[in-house]
Amino acid sequence: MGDTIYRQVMPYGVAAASTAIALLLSLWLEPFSSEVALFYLAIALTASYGGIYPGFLTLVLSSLALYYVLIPSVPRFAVDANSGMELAVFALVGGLIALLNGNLQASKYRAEQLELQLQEMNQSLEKQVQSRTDDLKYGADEIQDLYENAPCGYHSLDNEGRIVRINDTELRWLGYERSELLGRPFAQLLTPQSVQRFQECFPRFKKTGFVNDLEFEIICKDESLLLVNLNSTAIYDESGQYVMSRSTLFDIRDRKRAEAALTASQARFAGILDIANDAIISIDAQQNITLFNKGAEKVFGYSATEVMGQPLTLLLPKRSSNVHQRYVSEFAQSTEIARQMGERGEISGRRKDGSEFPAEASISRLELGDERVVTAILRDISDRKQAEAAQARLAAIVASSQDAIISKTLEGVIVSWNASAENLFGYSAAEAIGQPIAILIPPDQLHVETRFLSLIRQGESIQQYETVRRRKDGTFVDISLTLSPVRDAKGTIVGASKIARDITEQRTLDRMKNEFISIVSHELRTPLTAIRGSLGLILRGVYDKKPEKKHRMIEIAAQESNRLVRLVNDILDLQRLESGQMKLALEACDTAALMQQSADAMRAYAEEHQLQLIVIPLSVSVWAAPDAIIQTLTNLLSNAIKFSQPGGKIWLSVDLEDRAEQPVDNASGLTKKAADCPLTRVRFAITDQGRGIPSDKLETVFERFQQVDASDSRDKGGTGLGLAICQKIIEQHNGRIWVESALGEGSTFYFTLPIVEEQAG
Amino acid sequence: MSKRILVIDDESLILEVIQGCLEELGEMEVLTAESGLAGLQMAQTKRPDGILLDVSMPGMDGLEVLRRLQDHETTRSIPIVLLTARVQPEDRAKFAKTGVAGVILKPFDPIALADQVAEALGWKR
Repeated sequence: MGDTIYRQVMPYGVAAASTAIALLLSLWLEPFSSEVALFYLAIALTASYGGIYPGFLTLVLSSLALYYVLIPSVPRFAVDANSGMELAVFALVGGLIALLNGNLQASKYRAEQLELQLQEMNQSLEKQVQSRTDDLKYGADEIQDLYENAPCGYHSLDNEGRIVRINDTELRWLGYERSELLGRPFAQLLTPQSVQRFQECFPRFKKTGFVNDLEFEIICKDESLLLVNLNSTAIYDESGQYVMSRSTLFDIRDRKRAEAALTASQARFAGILDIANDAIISIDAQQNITLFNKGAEKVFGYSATEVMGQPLTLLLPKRSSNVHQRYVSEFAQSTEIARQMGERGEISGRRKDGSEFPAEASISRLELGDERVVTAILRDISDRKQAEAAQARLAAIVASSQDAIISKTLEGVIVSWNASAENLFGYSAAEAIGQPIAILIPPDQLHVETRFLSLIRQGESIQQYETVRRRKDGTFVDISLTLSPVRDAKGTIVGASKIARDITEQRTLDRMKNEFISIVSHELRTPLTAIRGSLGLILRGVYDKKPEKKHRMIEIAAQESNRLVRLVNDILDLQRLESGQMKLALEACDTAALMQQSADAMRAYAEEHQLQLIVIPLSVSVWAAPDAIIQTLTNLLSNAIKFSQPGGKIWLSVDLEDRAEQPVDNASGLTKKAADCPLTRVRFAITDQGRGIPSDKLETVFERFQQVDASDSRDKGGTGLGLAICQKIIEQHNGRIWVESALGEGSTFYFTLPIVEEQAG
Repeated sequence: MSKRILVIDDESLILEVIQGCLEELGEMEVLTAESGLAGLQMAQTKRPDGILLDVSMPGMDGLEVLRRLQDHETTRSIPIVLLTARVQPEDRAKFAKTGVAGVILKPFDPIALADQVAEALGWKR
């Protein structure tokens, strides 16, 4: 700013200074020169230096100086004509000088300016040239760099196929220096197969000018193989002569490896498909089979070639093929990708031989471009179904078993508990499972359980071990135990199964059997004792001199022999009736006839005891074994006679069952006709006036050897089995036998028999 | 002097036979009772030197009779031989614990009976 002002003001300063200098010099040199010339000089210098306006200022200042200083004759502030003229000439000449010098100065200035502009333009042009040159150099480097270090190989071959150019990348791949390869035939680097291909293609390439996607195997310097994909164009000169190739090579080893891996993966996948035991079947949109693996061949019995392109219904039972078709179509249209089949029931497949099998299947959908592939994976579950059925059967057996079946771990924790176990031990399954087995074991038996568990761990079983267990209510039960190891699928022993049988009843039966044998033995030994003793004494001759005594001994032997015979017969009868060996042949019998026969047989015996036997006959046809009923009647009559006092009466009558309440006291008025009564049973009654039976014995008299008084068998000649036999006989007739009695007044034995239907109706 | 023996058995025919055996072959004086109760009374009143006692009897059985004889001061010292048709091992083991002089099983050998009884009761003939 200051500099600009200085430059603008400076010429005017020069103007003032040059005028002053011209004035001073004029004053100093006044005698020797014209005072005007100096002022012209000042004007010219100023104008030359500062231009036209400082020149004119100098002119004005010089005019003033001349007027006031150098022309003394001229009065101040008055102009005469002479001096005016002089001054005007001065001003004119001075003005021209200022004008000319000013113009000169301006021209000179413009020339300087132009020169400066020219210089600037030159400099700018030089810069642009330099910059362009730099750019070109950079571009060339870049192209060189790209050429050398591109991720692909570049090379050029001359007319003979020799390498004339090759980039760094390719050299790096091959492991050669450039100098080793330039001028060398490209074919020398190739494997024999690739050489052949090169020799086929190169001549054609030179004519056509291009080649695309050729694969070559190049042998690197380290003898490794480089697999490349090559594209090339040919460069021709103006006359159309081949100059060289421009080839681009891509390393396709990775791609080849990936392709190989994919191929292997596909092969593996195919292999997996084939080793799968499940049937894997794909179908197209028309539900025709497009894939049928080896598993499917096994399951269905078809080969893949037989079913390829066939409809899926080939593999389905005819009755369900429509449902299946709809199901698969519906699935294919749905948005689901996979689904388990058979939620609403079993899936069945049909084999080539027409047989069907239960299956478990899942279905999945795959979109392959426009194609929609539905694939079903299907498993034949016949074996599993059979196993399940077998298991269900076993479970049913366990559930319905009369024996308690329990399983427990090796630590003795209960894990299963069937219904019989609930009944036997009183614990419900919910209560027992998870509890230690010790809840069932009396404390003094715990050590046995521990020993059993250690045997089970060694794989041994325990058979029918009889012991005692404790029920929930604290009572004890006799059981027979069978323990076996339970193994898992690998055969490892993981627990024990336990079958417990309630042997209370068996033990009771055993005890009863033993008691019976004991009693029979006693009953047999008693008459034998008398027989052996009496005969022994006779044989020894003890009573040879006492004939009365001897006779008495013979009597005893005979009497006791008879008793023995009766006893043996009764035991046999009873045994045969109880075991079912003696099957009574029922026939239509007349009750009156049965009564008469029995009464006739017993009449003498009754008279012997001075008893009156009264029979009230009723003729009804009944289903009966006549001999067995006569045996029953005589037995009951015999008892009545035996237990009656002399002079008493015994009644034998038959009634119809609905008349049970009617008293049977005498012979009168009780004769009736069976046809009047539409009833199915008759009731026999044998009434005595004997000593009667205590009420607590009314039931037990029918049991074996359960006489009211044990001496009865001795006194009355009974065996103790008569009523038991009667009961068995009547039971075999589907009848009933019982006794009513009042002590000291007498007893009535009743039994019933079925009436023959025609008469009953 | 012959020994007096009381035979208690509910079977009258057997009593007859035993009486024959002991009198004729054992030269014993035989008393008989047909029930346990009658036997007890007779043991107290007749003071026999020994008793042959049947086990299985109606009413008061032989073991009860035995217990009462052993309890009673007047009969405590009388040696007793049991006679029984109960031949099961457990029965015999039970009888052995009762402190009787011997047990004879039915049916017995009529010729040897007197000897067996005398031996069991410790009588020398």
